Amino acid sequence: MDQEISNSERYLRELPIQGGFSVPQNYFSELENKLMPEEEASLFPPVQGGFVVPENYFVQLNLQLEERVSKRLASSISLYGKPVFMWVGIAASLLFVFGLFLYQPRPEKELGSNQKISAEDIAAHLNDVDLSEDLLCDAGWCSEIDKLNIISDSAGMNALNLEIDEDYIIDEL
Amino acid sequence: MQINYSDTELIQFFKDPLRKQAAFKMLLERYSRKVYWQVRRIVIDHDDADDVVQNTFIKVWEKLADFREDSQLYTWLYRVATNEALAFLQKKKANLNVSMETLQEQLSETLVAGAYFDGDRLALLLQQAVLQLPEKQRLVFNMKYFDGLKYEEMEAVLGTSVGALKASYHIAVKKVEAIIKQHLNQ
Repeated sequence: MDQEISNSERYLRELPIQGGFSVPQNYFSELENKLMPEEEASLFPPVQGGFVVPENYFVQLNLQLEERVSKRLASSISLYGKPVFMWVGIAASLLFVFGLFLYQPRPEKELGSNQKISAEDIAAHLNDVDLSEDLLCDAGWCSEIDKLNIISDSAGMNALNLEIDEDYIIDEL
Repeated sequence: MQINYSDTELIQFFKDPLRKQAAFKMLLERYSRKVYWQVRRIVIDHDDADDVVQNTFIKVWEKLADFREDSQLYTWLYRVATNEALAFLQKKKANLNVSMETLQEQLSETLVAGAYFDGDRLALLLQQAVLQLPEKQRLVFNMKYFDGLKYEEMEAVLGTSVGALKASYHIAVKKVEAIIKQHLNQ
């Protein structure tokens, strides 16, 4: 059978055929360019490129990477990673912030309570604890002490007047 | 006996918190070498390649659960690693305050001086010739010539059409051939 095919081929090739199929201009050079990359690759030796790695490098590399992701996994699986704990944490945080808001000092209230104690009261208190007037004057309370003295003097006069009035009434009776 | 799971199965395991670590280990065993060599050919230096590969796989760990499987796992890995390696080179270029051409010259010097290169004269010449290619052509050449990727796979990695990739590879391979012939004839 092979002999028959071979004979037929020879016959056909030796036929003096001209014309027939044609190709566009420069087709074969362009076809060569299109096909060349595939062929040209075989021109270069199939080398790894001369690059080498340290001994056992890939084993170490895989181990290092496994270790790194294990650490990441461990840090990501914390209590906060679980939904229940996460929501409890959020609720506690909100409660804490609300508590801080409630216990915030209110400046206007504190100012009011300070203002209830007058300068006169302070001076009277200091007088009661028997501080010397000179010391209080040095501290800038002279005018308040004078005022206090006038009040106490007038109180004393009133008491005297009351005594006189009482004697007068007794006499009259 | 280790069962050889498909990439799709690996991704499914990875999405299961209980099997995530085991799936990642299998992924490393399957792809860390390929990713390393791909990165190494881009950044040249072994220590730099090691950094880039580690960053690549940490990103894979973080992002693989979101992988939509509209491309193959390996082309996705290839894309992540290529982007990491290119970003690394850009950062290096900025740190050294040099042009890409100067950086490529430095990479070429690293080849000669580096501890982890034991190629013969022809291997060195080939790598130096590849380093003279523009970045895109260098990527295409490495993927096609060394890794044997198909144009369709390269298209998925680089986002460039098959026609443009063929043209790039054709130009690249001609340049490399010319450089090698020039040196051999000297």
